[in-house]
Amino acid sequence: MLVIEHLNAGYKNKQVLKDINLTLSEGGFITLMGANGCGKTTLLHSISGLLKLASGDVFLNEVSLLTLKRKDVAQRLALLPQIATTPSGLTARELIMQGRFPWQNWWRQWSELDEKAVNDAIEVTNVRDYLDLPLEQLSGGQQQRCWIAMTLAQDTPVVLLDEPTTYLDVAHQVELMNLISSLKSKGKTIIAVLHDLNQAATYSDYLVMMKEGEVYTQGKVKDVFTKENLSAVFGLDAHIITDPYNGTPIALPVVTLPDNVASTADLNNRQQIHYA
Amino acid sequence: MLNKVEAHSMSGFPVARLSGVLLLLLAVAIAAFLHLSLGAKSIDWVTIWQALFEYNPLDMDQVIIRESRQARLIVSVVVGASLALAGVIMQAISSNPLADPGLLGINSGAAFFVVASLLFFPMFGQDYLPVFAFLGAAFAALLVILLSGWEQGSERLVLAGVVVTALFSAMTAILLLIDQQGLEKLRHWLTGAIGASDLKKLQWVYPYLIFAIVCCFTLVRSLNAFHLGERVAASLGVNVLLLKVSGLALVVVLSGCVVTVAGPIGFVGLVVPHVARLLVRNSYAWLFLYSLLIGTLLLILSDIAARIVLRPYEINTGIITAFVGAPVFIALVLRRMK
Repeated sequence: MLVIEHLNAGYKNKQVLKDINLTLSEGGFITLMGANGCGKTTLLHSISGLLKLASGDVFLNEVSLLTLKRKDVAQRLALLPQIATTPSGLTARELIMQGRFPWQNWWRQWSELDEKAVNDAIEVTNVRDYLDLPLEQLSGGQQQRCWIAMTLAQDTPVVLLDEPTTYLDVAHQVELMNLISSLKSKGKTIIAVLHDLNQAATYSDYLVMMKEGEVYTQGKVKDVFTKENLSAVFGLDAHIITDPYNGTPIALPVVTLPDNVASTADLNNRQQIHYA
Repeated sequence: MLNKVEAHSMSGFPVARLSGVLLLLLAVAIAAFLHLSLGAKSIDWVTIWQALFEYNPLDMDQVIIRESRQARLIVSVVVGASLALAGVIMQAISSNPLADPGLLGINSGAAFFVVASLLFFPMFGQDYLPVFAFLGAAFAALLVILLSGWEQGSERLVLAGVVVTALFSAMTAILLLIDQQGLEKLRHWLTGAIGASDLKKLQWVYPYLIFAIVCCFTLVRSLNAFHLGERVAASLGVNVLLLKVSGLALVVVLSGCVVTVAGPIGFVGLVVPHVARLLVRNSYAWLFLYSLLIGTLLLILSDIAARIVLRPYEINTGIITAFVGAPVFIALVLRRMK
């Protein structure tokens, strides 16, 4: 169980997160949603200790993460941040093996356990075909799979993912989301930031909607993914229908017909929705 | 079967890497012999052999080897290895391929403090010179960080380095003007003169050097993770701040030692890691080892060149490394601009 208490955090002169209180139960797929700049990424960074908190505390199974060493945090909780650049000179396998970092030290280098974790991660993410190729030669989707494999090799009960499907084309996004949601069955807790509303609604078990650095609302997808909440959190005017195949809710943005006068605000909002 | 193949490649024996190391060692050995043999007076290999293993103090040639060239060789090896390691660490922790203790003002900071200490605090023995060099190097490093904001891979870092280098060089020049005669020897040392150094200076610094070189290799695992990016490294459990501070401390010690022994020699820390990276790319353990050997090789060759291009006169080794390093620097900048 991940408990966040009175968390305040931000950057130099700007407070981003204001008194966040969250209790997230173990297992399942939890998605953080909200408009750009609402503090989703900041929250992920605060949980994993990348960002120093101004105040508040984060507990994982009743242990305060703030009191732990970085390595001990990394044994409990893995974060895949947004990747801006591909590291040079590494093969896919070498990248994935780095996931074992928190479990090693200079007198205990490579154990059977490391070997098994890496092999499992390779298996789950299905990257076997290009294991020994340099990362630079792989496509964006393949690279992202390798990063996820690295995060899985870290073998933590909690996995945090920051927009894992950004920059991928639609087919790869779906493939990757299927992969991520399959991790639930391995008993992992996934906490992800997703931009695509309908992806979030389809794959998540639990939604946390954030607005201006605060938790606006949270709950099961069916209860929270409503017209009113989307309007309040994203400023989006959308119809909610039910996916006839999955039974999950889907947001259809209200389209302004050409003979109506389209306001700029509407156009902006519409651009935030990618059709999956 | 598949698993077996994998087990092999994950912890397999790096034959290619190791043979590269052996080749480099061979090259260093040959260069070392050349270094002893060439100079104002050429000395044949048999005499070198005798000087090293069957020393006869009555043979003048053997005395030259033993008393002068051997010391130069040892100093070249130490300087090359230290500067190369310092360069690898600087480029790693700043994520900037242009980082180098010379370019970022760390060498000139150390040099200024050494000169100032000789002028203003002559009562401290020469044993304290390395300490002043460390102080100067650390001070310059802090100044550069303050000016650049230590942004990842930023050009500001290099600009700040240029400014700090200019500042310390100017202040050193002022000190030299104040005391013309007394510091004539220093002027020579300040352009990176291995010729002016002797083994006594090495005795002041070798405990620090050995400690720093060993410490470099303890950073390997963290540096490997840091190569994936600062955030990824942090989420893998690297204490990024601690890594940067300890890396910087090592650079300060390595550069400080070099400056004490041979003056500020530039560009070695810039060039060597790039050459090493052409050969090994994915592990800092190997990168350190290769850089150490390539740096040694570069310095020995530079010192040979320093003694034979204008024979029978000598130029300073630092001038040769600048001639080698400046084109590499320009090439790196051009590649970055594209």
